[in-house]
Amino acid sequence: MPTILAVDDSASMRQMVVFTLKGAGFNVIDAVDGVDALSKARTGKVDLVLTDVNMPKMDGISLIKELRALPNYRFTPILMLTTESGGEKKMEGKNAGATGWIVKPFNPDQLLATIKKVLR
Amino acid sequence: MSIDINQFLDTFYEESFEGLDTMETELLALTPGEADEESINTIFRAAHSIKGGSGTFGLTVVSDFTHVLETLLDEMRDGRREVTQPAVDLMLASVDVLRDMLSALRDGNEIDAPRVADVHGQLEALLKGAEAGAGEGETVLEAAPVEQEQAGSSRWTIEFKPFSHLFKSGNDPVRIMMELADLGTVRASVNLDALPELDLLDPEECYLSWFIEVEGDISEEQLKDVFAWVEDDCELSFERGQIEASAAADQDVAATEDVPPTRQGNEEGEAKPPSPAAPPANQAAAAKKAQGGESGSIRVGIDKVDALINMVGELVITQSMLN
Repeated sequence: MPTILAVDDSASMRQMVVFTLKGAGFNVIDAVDGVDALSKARTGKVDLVLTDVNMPKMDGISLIKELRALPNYRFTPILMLTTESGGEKKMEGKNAGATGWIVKPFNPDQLLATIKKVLR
Repeated sequence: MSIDINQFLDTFYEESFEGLDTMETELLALTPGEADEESINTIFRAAHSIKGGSGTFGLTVVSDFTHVLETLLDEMRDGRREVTQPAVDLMLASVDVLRDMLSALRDGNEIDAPRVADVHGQLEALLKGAEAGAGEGETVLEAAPVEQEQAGSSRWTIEFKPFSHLFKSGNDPVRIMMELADLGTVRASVNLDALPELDLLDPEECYLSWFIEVEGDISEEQLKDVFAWVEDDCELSFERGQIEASAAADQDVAATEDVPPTRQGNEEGEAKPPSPAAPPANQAAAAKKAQGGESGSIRVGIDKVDALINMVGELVITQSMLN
């Protein structure tokens, strides 16, 4: 099964996402911020990155830019978890290299439906 | 699979109380008139997490309240609003309200609704205060008339021309085709006109474009959702034609022969001939083909496109290994 890197500084969101994805059979690596995620992405193969935007140390937008600069992540799907339904943050993410987004709040079924569209 | 997300509520409460403590500490350290970017960012992130989590866990009374507070902080963060003592005092009061709200929800007690409404109102008044006058003299725009959705099965014709950088966003036309196939019956023609000779081909660039027909009970909103992630990475157009149920079966043969679909039916279900003034794009393509002028448009199954793109992916990997 594909491996997903789930990045969120909120412990409850991280738990919910990890529990949902593992329950669906995915391998999951979790990270608490961009710095942690970048370190884990460098040491393991990841098929999809799911990242929150507002995080300490390194935010989601910076993480996307850093990942896209790594040879192994040039074409890897990267989805942002954003509370903003408007366009500004999405456009910022897209310009950084994000594949798409999932708007918070979302429930486990919505999360899985989106993930499965990307990792068919 | 149905997951009970309430099992994560305890963690949410715990991190929210920690976040509120952080907000309080940082707010007390703020100096009015000075925008300490890192402090405001820290306060914003804590409020943002509480808003996101409470929305996810269905605590809308908390997420609604935090939304106003977060907006205020966002304006301070962007330098659009000055950090004043009254604003800091109000945000400290908001932290107290949030702490009480979360405690009440966690313990199954009643929320002090009048107090919540009072502070919520003060936050909104502060926000609107900065906007006062901004709306004066503005023309109220009438909402554009919303096109009434046509009921029943439709045939959508879609022209999808990805920009060459599409793959670099991690997007893949095959995923989009598969999503369309989830909505209805898809027929796609790939246009190879932009495909260079093999020795000039950069496997990291997208050279292909598609003319797609998709049939089913599909709204424009659903189609837009499918292309939402790539709308700025391509040229895209949709055109809708209505299909009469009785005529749909008759059209199957024509469709497989790449004959342009006949636009049929209006909202009353009457058959309509194609407009001679504005032929659908596929008609133009067919006309071009009939004139012997086309050389680069073929109809290819999604599975073959998938296989082709997989092969290109393998080429990229092999090339990078060789490098």
